[in-house]
Amino acid sequence: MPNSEFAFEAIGAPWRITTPSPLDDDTMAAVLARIDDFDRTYSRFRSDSLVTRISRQAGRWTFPPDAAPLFSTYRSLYEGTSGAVSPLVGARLENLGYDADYSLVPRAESVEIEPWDDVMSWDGEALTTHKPVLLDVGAAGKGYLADLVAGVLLDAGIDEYLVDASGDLVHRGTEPVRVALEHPFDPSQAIGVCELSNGALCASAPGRRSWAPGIHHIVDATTGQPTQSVAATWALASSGLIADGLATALFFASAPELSASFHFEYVRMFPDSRVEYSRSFPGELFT
Amino acid sequence: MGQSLRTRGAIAAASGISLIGLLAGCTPAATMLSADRTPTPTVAPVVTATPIPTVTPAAVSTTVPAHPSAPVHKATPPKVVAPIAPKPKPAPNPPAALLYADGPYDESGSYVSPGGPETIQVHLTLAHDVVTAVSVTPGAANDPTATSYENLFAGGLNKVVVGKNIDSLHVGAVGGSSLTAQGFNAALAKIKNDAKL
Repeated sequence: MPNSEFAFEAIGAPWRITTPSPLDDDTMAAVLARIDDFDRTYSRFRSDSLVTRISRQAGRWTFPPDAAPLFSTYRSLYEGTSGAVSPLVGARLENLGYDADYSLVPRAESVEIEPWDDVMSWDGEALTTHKPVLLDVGAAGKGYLADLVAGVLLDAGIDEYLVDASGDLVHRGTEPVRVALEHPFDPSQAIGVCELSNGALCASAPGRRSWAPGIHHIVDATTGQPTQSVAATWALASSGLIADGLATALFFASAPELSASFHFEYVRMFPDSRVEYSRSFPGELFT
Repeated sequence: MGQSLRTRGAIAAASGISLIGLLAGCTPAATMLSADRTPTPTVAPVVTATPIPTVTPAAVSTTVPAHPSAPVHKATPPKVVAPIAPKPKPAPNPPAALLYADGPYDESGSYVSPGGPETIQVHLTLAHDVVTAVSVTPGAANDPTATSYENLFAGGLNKVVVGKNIDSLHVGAVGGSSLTAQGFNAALAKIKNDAKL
């Protein structure tokens, strides 16, 4: 398709929306407003966010309607990974140095990540917390935000698009897009190519967001430790929310374990450059 | 391993010097000569590239043995070190600056799987900064569950990927994490800078 691009920076990362014809000003403004809304609710880096308020005291917190899919997906991921993927890693990430100021200095003392049911419950529209908790929705949040941005485009009557949220992709349209699977150790290289058509492809790789030896943002909530056994993951699913969440979950659980709850295709790459992928993965791996 | 590479490096360095001599001998114009001397460090940086594949055994996810251009290695880009050219003005049609010497590499590495530490031997061949061949010899596997799960579901098992340059692939997008948070990257750059001796 003849392509127009709307590129911008949001939630601290570059975004790119490709459409057959240019977006009008109203649509561009609506996209940015939607992202700002999301950020205002879920960012643990903003002093005015709902998540920050929840970190200060216990209570019953009503979330906007977009929270329901997010929490229910998180719950499935939590169960599918035996508790390793949890929105309760926020305090531990902060403790490791991934905080609002990007101090990137791990604190001397660790903090415990408590089991979900011990500290909070989600009833479909509100979160009840028994104590202050610092939530982090990083495992699935960016992919989900790409979905929500795609929703803004659909509302504006645009039904062909590629939303690229810095490597997390949501596509809709008649023409598939070829996507390079970025090599986790060298962004100038790819380990394969995937054909993305009317779905989402999300990737996760800790190496490029590592700030000290062995310290990065993909933390096992059952141990509090950044995971070391997988080098990179790609998940292909019907939505960015699920694809992004699975890209994180595949660091902690095998595909058979997760396939009980989700339909997806995937690639996992291990630190020794071996790959594992689903049989129907629509693409090619350079092996 | 590091040992044999150092030897390679020394040879490469020596040939680099002789290459400069060769250029000086056959270049007709003196101005061309000085221009030509600058790009020759594409050979010389091989010297600094040699310590690169030393893999720290305290394996972290970034310290990955199989790929020589891991971020860890990029912390010491050879071109920064090359002190030869007084004024690094690019020559016309400069060869792409290579970070690593062509040739075969052997390295052992370890990583921590949920079942415990794993050790592997990696043999790979580099040409123009691209991995052209890889083979991996696994050590004693500590985590048999991992492989059995892989058998159940995986289309490819124990296949090793080889990177290709993204520019050559004609793709519409890149799925990965290179475009990560700018603030994070800026902070990290600052920390690296602070950590310099």
